[in-house]
Amino acid sequence: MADIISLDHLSVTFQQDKEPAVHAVSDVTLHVEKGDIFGVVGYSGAGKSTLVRTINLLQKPTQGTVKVAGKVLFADGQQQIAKKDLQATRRNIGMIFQHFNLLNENTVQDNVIFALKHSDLSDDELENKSLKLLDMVGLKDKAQAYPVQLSGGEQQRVAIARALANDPEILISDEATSALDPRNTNQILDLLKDLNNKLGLTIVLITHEMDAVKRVANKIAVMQKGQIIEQGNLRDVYLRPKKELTRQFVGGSLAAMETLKAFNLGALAPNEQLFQVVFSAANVTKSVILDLYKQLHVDVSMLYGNIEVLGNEPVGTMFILVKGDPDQLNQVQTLLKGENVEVTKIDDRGIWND
Amino acid sequence: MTELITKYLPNVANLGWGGDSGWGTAIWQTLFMTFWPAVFGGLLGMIFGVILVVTKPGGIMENRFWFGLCDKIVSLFRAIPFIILLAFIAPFTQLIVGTQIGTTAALVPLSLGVFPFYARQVQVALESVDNGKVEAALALGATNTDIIFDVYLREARSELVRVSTVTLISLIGLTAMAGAIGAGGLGNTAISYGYNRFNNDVTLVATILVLLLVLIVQLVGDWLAKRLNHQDR
Ligand SMILES: Nc1ncnc2c1ncn2[C@@H]1O[C@H](COP(=O)(O)OP(=O)(O)OP(=O)(O)O)[C@@H](O)[C@H]1O
Ligand SMILES: [Mg+2]
Repeated sequence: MADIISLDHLSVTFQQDKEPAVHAVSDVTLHVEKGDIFGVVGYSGAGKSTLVRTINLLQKPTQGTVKVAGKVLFADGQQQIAKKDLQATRRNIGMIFQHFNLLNENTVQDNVIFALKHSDLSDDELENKSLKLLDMVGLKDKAQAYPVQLSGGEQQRVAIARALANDPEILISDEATSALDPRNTNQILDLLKDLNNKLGLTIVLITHEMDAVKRVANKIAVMQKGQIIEQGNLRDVYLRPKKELTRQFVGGSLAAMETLKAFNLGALAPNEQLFQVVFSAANVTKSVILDLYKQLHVDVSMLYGNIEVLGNEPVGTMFILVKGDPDQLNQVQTLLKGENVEVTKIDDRGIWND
Repeated sequence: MTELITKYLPNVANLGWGGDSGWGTAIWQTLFMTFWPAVFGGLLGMIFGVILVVTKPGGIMENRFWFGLCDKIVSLFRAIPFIILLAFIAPFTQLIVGTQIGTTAALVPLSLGVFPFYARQVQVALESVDNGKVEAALALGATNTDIIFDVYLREARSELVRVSTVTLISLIGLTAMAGAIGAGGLGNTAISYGYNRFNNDVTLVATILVLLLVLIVQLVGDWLAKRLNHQDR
């Protein structure tokens, strides 16, 4: 499938008087295909927002090329399209934000109609279309309410209706669920997934919550210090993370971190070793722990275990503490790899230090 | 009623209602000197306030030159005490309204006196609009005009009413000073017919009338600001 968004060798540098330059994005290349839900994860300050804001040129790059839906928007250090065309292009790229950014002095319906200001719909059509959009996000009955009267989750739904008003091909979500509680978060994510299925909407999902990406994305990019350190299909990256940070993200869901911390693993004995074990659907029914005991005669205890659905496939994660002599411990990794299980040795600090 | 006034406030009654020194004339002059400068100074202040916000560094129409120019003009006019401004721009007043004294002549310095104050108030009010809203509008393909009218002015409307109330009240204060160039009004009544002639009853009534006017403006302003506010603060 063709790329709908191509960012090539993109850099954004902030130069403030007297202060040293901030390289918020350095030489990033990112290609999003039509129909993707592309998750971009990374810690605060990694440059995620800056990177995606270049897609609709809310942020002008310092260097590189931005191409959206076949049109070059930015290249050779310059904007390549006229202001009017850029405004039209932006209507093809919806965007939602952490703090919703609705117009508080307009009713819910008028917020949606505001997005349609430059369409050539008649008043009747505006009325109908805005109500249809609100119906799609389940808020038709709140059309005449003001944003302040809605809950956070509802406000974000209005923002989604507004972002989709001009039937865009692309939706950018910048931490859109970060201010919401878990239930609302999942509802919004499922709504996005649904829109992706039904409308073929391409979604770029920025978040620092890996769980959100796991729930809906098919691709993932991990950002650190302005660079994408790893990207690919969610499953591949999840099962075979190459970089330390990626491992922290994919293996280090908050629950796992908290659990491990509670074990106070600074006090590992010399004959103990901690492993993270990730296995895919085919192996879920297999008893990894039993195999280790049977074949290596090591003492295995499970500190944390979890099975989650990635895309549509269950993937398990375990943290196991293995007790044995050095010889036996060395064989653990070899044995498990033979079973098509992803093993990572975790040293005493490894995973829970940012 | 008339008897009571004649008995207890003889000097007040002496001034009468109509005529050059009458109460009706004074009230009318005060309203006149509040209304037109509010329109002219308000419009000018609003325009400067908007320009300051959109041309500031990082604004939607960032422009060092226009920002610097408007900023300096506003600062300069704010720095001149009103009573000096009255005298200072007299030739300019002559040019515009054809006279340097009287109620009409006062409209020019009053407008110029109130505009920088209002411009700063508008600037602050518009800056209270979260930049995220501007950004979201830009992402929706909004034009600069859309952003000025539908985002900045609309989102800040309650705040704008509030600062307009404050400005209007300080403008009422300025009209009293305009009496210095023979502009009339309640301020002039209080000074010329009250204070200067030791007619304390006149001063008292003039003061009460000014306070009443301020109170009405404040109440209407508060009510409107509250009605127009749907922000979550
Ligand atoms: N307008 C700006 N001027 C100067 N520096 C900026 C600007 N915008 C962002 N930065 C800097 O660029 C870096 C990347 O910021 P960015 O907002 O893209 O990070 P992020 O990954 O989105 O973080 P978060 O998860 O907190 O939203 C940060 O160091 C930030 O301070
Ligand atoms: Mg961000």
